[in-house]
Amino acid sequence: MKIKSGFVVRKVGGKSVAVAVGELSKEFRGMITLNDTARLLWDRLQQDTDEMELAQALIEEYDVSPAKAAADVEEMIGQLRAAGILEA
Amino acid sequence: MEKSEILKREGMYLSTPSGNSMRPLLRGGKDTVVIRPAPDRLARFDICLYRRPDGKDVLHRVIRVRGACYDIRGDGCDYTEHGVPHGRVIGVMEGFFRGQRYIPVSSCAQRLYARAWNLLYPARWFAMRCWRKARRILKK
Repeated sequence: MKIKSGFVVRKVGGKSVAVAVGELSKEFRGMITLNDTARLLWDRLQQDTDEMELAQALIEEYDVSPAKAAADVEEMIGQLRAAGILEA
Repeated sequence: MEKSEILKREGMYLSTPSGNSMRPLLRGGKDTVVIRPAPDRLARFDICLYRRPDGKDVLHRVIRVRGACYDIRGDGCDYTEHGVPHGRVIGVMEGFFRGQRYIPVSSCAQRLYARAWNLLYPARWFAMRCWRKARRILKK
């Protein structure tokens, strides 16, 4: 799975915000605020990846437990899927 | 979530404007605008996000302040909306991204552009009307 192409991340006032551009901006009209964890996952999701790789990235970066990493990944993936931001 | 609610919660709203009514400044579908909550009163040449009575949200420039109302016009438009009340204003544009470059509207260049572009309006209006007429004639 990966993020649909057509999103760009802008850094404004210390916050990372993703918005759609081009054709995708006609379909997706909102903005997505990314905290540091979400930004890490978002960047990894620019390439095709899976939940295990994403969880591993969190463990390496933040030294969290596998269970916590998996839960954070599941939450974010769920939100992205519900918003229609992920490619199948 | 409404844009006004996002502005309240996040202190900003980012969006890719559709359409080309703010050309040449903003390219529809390409540039990213940064909107902040509106101050109590807008100034001339501020670019504001406001809601029309039909519910459509529009990002255009204030060209005249009339008490608690504004005359507003898109940089690429040949018409002016008169008497837009401040109550319809959702936010004010702080700057925009063109590619990776961030351009604040407060920069010297942007303020000069706003004044110069507005000064050229009579000539632009005339040119746009001529162009539309020519296109209509050519289509026949």
